[in-house]
Amino acid sequence: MSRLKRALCFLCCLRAETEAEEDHDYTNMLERARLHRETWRLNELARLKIELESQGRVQQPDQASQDLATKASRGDSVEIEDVERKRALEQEREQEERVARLMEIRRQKLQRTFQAEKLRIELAAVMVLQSEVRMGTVLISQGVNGTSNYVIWKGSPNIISNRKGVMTTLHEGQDLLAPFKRRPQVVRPEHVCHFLRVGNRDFMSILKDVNANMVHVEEKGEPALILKRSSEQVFAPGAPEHASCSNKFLVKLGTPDTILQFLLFSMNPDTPDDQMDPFVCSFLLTYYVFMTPEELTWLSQRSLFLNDRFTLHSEPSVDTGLVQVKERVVTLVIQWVALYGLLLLDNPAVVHFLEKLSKQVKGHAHLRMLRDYISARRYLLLDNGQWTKNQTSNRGHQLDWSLVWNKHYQTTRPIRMKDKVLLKVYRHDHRFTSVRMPLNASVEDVMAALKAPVGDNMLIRLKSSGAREQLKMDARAISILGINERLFLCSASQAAELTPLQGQLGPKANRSTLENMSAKAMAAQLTSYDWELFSAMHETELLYYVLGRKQFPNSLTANLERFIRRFNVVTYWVVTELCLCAELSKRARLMRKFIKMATVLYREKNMNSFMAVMYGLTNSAVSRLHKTWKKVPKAQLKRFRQYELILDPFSNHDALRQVVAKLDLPYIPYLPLILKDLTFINEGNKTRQDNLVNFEKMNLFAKTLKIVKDCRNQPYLPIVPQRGSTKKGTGLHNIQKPSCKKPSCKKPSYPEQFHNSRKLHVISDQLKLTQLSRAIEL
Amino acid sequence: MAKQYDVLFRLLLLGDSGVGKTCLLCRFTDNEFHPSHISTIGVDFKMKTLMIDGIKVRIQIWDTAGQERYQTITKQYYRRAQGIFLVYDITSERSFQHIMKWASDVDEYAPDKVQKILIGNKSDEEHKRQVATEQGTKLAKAYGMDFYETSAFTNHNIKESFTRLAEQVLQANWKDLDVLRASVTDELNIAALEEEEGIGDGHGDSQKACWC
Repeated sequence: MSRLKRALCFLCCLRAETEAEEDHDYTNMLERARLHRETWRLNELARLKIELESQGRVQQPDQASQDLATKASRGDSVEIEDVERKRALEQEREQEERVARLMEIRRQKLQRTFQAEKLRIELAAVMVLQSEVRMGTVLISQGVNGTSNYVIWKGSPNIISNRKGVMTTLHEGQDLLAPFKRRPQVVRPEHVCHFLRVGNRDFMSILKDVNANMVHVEEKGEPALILKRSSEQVFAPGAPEHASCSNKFLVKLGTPDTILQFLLFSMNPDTPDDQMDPFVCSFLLTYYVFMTPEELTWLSQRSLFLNDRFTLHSEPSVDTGLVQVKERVVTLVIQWVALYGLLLLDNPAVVHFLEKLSKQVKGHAHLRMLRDYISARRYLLLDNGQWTKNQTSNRGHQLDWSLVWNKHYQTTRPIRMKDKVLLKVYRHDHRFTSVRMPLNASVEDVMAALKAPVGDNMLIRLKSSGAREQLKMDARAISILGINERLFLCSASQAAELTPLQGQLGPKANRSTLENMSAKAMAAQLTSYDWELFSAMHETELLYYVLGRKQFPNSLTANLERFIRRFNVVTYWVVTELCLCAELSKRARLMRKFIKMATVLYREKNMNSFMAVMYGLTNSAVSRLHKTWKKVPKAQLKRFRQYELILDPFSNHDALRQVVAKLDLPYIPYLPLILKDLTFINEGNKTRQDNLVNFEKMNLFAKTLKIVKDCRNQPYLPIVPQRGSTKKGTGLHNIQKPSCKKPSCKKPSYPEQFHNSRKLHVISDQLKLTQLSRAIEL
Repeated sequence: MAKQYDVLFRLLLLGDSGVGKTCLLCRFTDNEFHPSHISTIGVDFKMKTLMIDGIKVRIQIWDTAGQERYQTITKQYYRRAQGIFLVYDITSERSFQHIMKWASDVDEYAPDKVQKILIGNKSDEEHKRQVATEQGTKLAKAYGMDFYETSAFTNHNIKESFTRLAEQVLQANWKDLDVLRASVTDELNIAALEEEEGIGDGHGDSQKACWC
């Protein structure tokens, strides 16, 4: 139906416009539209000419301005740059003015294209006026699918049913869409009527166009930007007034440059801090897929520089548009820094750019407000867990970038690219050598650091099960290590006899510390640690992880890998603890505790650990413990079965998705599903198409990444109040920070609890776990 | 309500990352090649109904793409599967060697009756071949599996291999077919409902996914 409505909208607005001019010759509509365009261009040329002449700085005003204007109207940015270069030696300032103006024209041109004028013209071209002078002519017979669509121009035809007679009378502006109305109908004009008729085929093809609503922008004869009308916003009733028509267009394909240009053109710099413009958000979350940070700084710098002096020397009222562009560049950069924070500081080119921009802002009256805005952005985390704005404003004249980036509630420092780790490499006799290696060190680097001759030595990854794998020279040596895995350096003959270290095998006996802790306390500890690891992981790591190292050799995914590892550890921990508990009654108590823990984690909206614990409880080594399961109370068992349904991957994890959809922020998302979605988006869609960036794919990426971003940007506070805490309200503000919390049990003391939940010793060998499970219950 | 299918089988794709599991899947479930299509995460994009011996077999295919590092999760999938594709890449010797690891995992975690099939993918990249066809045949024979060399790119042997596994699963479960029918009733209703809803709110075309 929406297609129909949209088509009607076009027909009606077409009609309304023509009528307003009291022009009964509809066929010349096309001509008029063309004329209108021509007039606009001529006006634009004249305006430009006059302005350039009045400034008296152009030697050959006629030719030069015309030349420029034609080029501008072609949207030919490369040639604009050519002109720019030629004149650069003569009159630098003048040139800048002109280029800035040309940019402005180009922007206007873009805007003009968006008004869907083209579509209206198209419709006018295929529309025919049909006058029915004779009364009683049947337009569409009952039961027959018509071949044409009509809009009533003048007159009021009737719809007559063979059985019931006159059913209704149509009036001017109403439509008769033949193929869509399956109901038999007879239309018989009572008086002289005029119709606008559009053949079905034309109508359908235009409808398709309207539906697709594509706008193509070309640069130098090559397609540079393809926009698509957003179907959501067109009919959105509560759309704000200031959202210009350009906001209704979404980038489908484009070159990185034009995408950025369009972004600067269409973004709304007044969007509040916490709700980013969706386009800006998509762009910033995914730009590194199609352009490097250096390219981004270069392009922003260019947009900024072109307008810089021009705005300083002119009346602000005249050049509001240019100031706007500048403002938008600064806003974009601020949001960029806010999103990436410390990650950008590892890139010298970006740091240089930021410093330069900071200086530019200092000398710029128009941008002072932006600086104030940034100063106001300093947030503090109060003891009660609320974020508050810092009262002390920054009195300096430069931008302090450190105030900009989003502060996370981080106690665990994120791993950074340049960080080095202490890597222990073992020999076949279990002696080890320690080397400090950067995170992305390859096997070759490690071998070099160990000064091992390459010929007869190799690096082996040994799992706790005794399985070994020889690493290739170009593989990463550190990040590939899983739980209880160690690196061994040995010769080919020694490799066959490698035995796992004692530490790799995991605990031998149940240490029973869990017995003294409540499920709630343990869940709270798990969540608080999860939250630290989760917030230390940047959204970009997910995308880098999915896109792969081949494409981004220097990408950082260590924080994500740490979080993935944690998931596996928690799962194995549940299985290990249960399998090591030989006494049936104790084991049943432990099982109940774990189910309780899952309940608490679920209520705390820690989906990641909830799923980890559940995967532990449904592990084959645990689910076969029938005697133990029998001792679980029915009510609890019933709840467990309900949770089990969430695990079911049926219908692409439909059950889990439904649960997650109901959660409010903040929550810790179940990361495997996000990684899976990203993988599918990546594998299912091309990144580039005909050398243009497929921005729709970026939008899909961003939509998924935004979930993680939104979750990370919230301060985490536990929902479930602990028994020991003084306030028992469910409101977030009533609850204390997790670190302030008193342990609910007297023993063990807080530091021990803390230690317990962070350092989990597990058996990661499934075979061994199954053996243990068989040993305790046949 | 007319039954959409008679039985429902769950098949699982296993193999190293990068062997083209997802591509195989999209080739099979959505045979048309849409180079420029944009897709969203569909609800039922991994379902396909086949006619085998007059029985409407609905197969649901699981893919663990993107989750390879979560060892604890992927093993959970095994237990619910009735048929398993072991996929390697003919241009990667390593992925072939890992088949043994995957096969032993399957033996350990999957139900006894599970049916397996060996797939050597990317058969169109003959010039980069590292694993000879004979090697594949030999391995398949050793494990008592059928073997196909496929190409998601040229659509070679895709439908054949999926149908073959479905047939095997059907044969293995022939005796329990009635039981199976009964056990899928709930899911059947859900699936039918989802399908109806999909048509109802017009999400049908927007969520139709294509992954290649």
